[in-house]
Amino acid sequence: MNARGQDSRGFVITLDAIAALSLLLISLYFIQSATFTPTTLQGTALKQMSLDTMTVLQKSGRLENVFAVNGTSVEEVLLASPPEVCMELSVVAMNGSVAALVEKPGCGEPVSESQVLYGTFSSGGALYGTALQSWYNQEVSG
Amino acid sequence: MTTGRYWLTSDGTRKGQIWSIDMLSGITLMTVLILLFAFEWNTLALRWNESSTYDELLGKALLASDALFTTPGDPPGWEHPGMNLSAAYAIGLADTRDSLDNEKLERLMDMNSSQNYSLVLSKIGLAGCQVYLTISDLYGDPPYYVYGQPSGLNNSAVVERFVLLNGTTVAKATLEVWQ
Repeated sequence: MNARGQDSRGFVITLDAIAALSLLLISLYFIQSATFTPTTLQGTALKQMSLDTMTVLQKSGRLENVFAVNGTSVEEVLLASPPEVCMELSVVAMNGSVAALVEKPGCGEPVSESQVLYGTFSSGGALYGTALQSWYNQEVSG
Repeated sequence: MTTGRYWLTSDGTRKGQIWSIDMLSGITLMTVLILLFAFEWNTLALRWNESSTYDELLGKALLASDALFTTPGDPPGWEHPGMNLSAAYAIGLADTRDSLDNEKLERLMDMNSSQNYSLVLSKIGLAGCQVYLTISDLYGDPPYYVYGQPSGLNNSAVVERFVLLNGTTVAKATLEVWQ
């Protein structure tokens, strides 16, 4: 009972219901705002793209030219990948030093959920290791 | 001690009093909230359904692109002129992974007619779907090869792959799938 002698229990119950439903609505709003991404399929697509990239780089001979022309022919392929895909190719000599590094411009640092495809190739009588790291550009894929 | 407002009736029982303005405003507020809830729920249900349909299409597109660009088909000589396409189990365009065969590509382009369209789709696991396939240089145009017509939709599944033409030329293959 309040100071005027009126019973306000009914109002309290109504406020409870409104508060509960409002909370539910706010939760729904945030769920709706979230981006739905089919993670498994996107991962598969990224894996396919990485395998394709390494395959065409090796078979076309562009990988061997990564030292000769500052990796521009490799960068040309990386640039042609879909805008939402980021790639970075590292070429490592057998002594562990980085012999070449080609990045797709405008991607920034790799995010935590990235894939790495390892391989080897020979050039000029020396064996090199490759690591193609790929990830989705969060700014483009939303 | 009694609380609240009530009338005493002739038989001594109490009858509660309804505050019409309070009740009306409460019902209005509750109705608005329930309508908002229903709208939000419906929007979410639509989005989940769209997402599920897109996933299904993307899965089909990924599988079809793998069949086309990484396998020679079954039998591998399906493109030979004497071969009846109906007898082939699957169509593939590659000699080896990502390296496309010109003869297979030419044969596919020959089957661009509406009569063969459904048959081709059934051989790449896309029966009941529509496709638009282009193979172009790394910059997108002009396409070297085109199969089908573009959808013009914004919810179709699109898969882009790197392939090799003539064994050395790096090209971009784009497969669009929709229903």
